[in-house]
Amino acid sequence: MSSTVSVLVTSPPTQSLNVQSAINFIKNANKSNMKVDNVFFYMDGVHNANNYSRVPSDEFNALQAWKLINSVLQVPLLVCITAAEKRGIINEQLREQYELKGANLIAPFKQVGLGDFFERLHDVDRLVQF
Amino acid sequence: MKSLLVILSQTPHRDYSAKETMDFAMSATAFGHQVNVVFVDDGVYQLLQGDSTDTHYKAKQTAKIAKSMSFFDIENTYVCKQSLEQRNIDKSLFTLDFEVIDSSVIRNLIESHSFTVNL
Repeated sequence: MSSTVSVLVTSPPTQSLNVQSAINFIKNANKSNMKVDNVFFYMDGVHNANNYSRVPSDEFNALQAWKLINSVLQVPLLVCITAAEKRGIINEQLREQYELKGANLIAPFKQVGLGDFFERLHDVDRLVQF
Repeated sequence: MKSLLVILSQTPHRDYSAKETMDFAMSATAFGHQVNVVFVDDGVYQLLQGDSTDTHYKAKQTAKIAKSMSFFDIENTYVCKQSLEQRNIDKSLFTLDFEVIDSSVIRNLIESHSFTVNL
């Protein structure tokens, strides 16, 4: 029987091993008949969604890894809007509002509120935090 | 109804976490989850009163934030007994009478909740 899991990411990409563990978990959950309902980025975890981040090619690139998770496994990547805004991670709508030059929170990442995460949590069997 | 145990284990004022933890817990109750909170390890420092941080910094006293939890439908607030003993903290230093529990009880709490997060 398949079960569903929600992944809460509170580690920033600079805590690379935590983020790599999250990525490995999601890949293997999928192989083990466990459906990953969503990934929710909260607290310093929102830094994972910063599309401006650039990493040397011999280091782990969290941004690329998350994009791959979304494109291959179709897992929604949800980012807490309040936590993101505080840390300068801004979507197109906020970019316009604050008259900034460019948004750094773009698809496949999606800005949501805490409420969206907790609504989805009613329907999942497990919550795993990294 | 799903139940959520929120573990607070960080020292106060280390980052945004006290405020964001509260937002997380309050939002969970607002969206129909049953929430309990437990302070462990250095998280117990969040409960000390007489913290004058807010006179010198733009930061809320974490003890005040903790005190407000009952207003937001958070069912129970527990404090780990061993964490207090290791830090020589007497519970009379707290602003509220939080329930002090043994670390073995925390294990049972984790098992009895649908979900656990450590913030």
